[in-house]
Formats: sequence, structure tokens, C-alpha cells
Amino acid sequence: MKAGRVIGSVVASRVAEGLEGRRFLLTVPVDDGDDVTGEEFVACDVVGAGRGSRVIWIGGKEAALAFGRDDIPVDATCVAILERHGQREEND
Amino acid sequence: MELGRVLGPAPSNVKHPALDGLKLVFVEAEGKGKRGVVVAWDVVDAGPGDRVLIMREGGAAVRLLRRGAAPVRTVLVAQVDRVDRER
Repeated sequence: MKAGRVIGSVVASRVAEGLEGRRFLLTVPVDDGDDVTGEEFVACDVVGAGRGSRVIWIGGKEAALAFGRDDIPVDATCVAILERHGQREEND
Repeated sequence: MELGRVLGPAPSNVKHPALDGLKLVFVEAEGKGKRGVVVAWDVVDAGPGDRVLIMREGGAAVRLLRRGAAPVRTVLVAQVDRVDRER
């Protein structure tokens, strides 16, 4: 699992089976100080995250398990909203 | 998933039986240029130039296909209508 920041959203009306009605969030990976550590990607959401949210996301096959099934065609899902973003920020 | 653009069809006559009848296309992941070009199974009937979401998880692809063990990983799982980006 990794930290991320939601920077936008993706609207898609025609989707694969299992993705109907899902929310898609444009997300960047960040470190414990909220600095961007990689390229943006699109994640599904199960916790109601939105633009500006700092989240915990999971990639790979476990991304589908966030929906309680293993046949949802996703490779990244936001599974928690971070309240505080780690030690580094608290020390600043 | 990643944002991408469909380039065009990736036709093949000789293929693994599990791939029979699948629509395979070339797609370019956004921001990566030609190094970001991959072949994907298109389940949302996208056309050249369409913006899509590229999903790269083999297990989910195999279960979506429902043909047992199958050599698939990359799937176009959504046609993108709009991206709202923080600026």
C-alpha cells in the first residue's frame, strides 16, 4: 500500500463489466511529506476520496479485492483517506 | 489504471486460442510517447484517437475473459469522456 494525493477525476460512461458506476480518481504517488514520487495514474475509489484528498492506495491484484471480489478489472484502488500525512509534516 | 489514446488495430491471424475473437489494439499511454505504446484487449469498443483507461493487472484480465488460463494482461476498461484536473 502506498500514499497518494488525488489531483482530479476521470469521467467515463462506457466501461468494462464490473466498473459500472465506479468513481475514477486521478492520483499521484507521494511520500510521507506529500512530495510527488512518481507519475500520475487513475485509481478506483471505495472511501469517498475527492480532489485534494490524501489517500492510501493499493495496486496490483489486491486492488480488486477492495470491492470484495476478485473479478473487477482494476489495478489501483484508493482504500483509505489519510488524516495526517506522516511524521515529517508534523515536525515542520 | 493509466490514461491513454488508441492508435489503431493490432490484427493477428495466428494466435493463442484464448485470444480468438478478442479485439486487440495499439494504445499509447499519455505522456510517454512511443515508448508507452502497448497492445491491449479492448472491451469498450474504442476507436483510433479515443481516450481510454489502460488496466494492467493480469489476474483481473483473465477473470474478465472467463476462458480459464489465458495469456492476457493489458485491458482497455473505460472510454474517457472527460478529465477534471487540479490546476
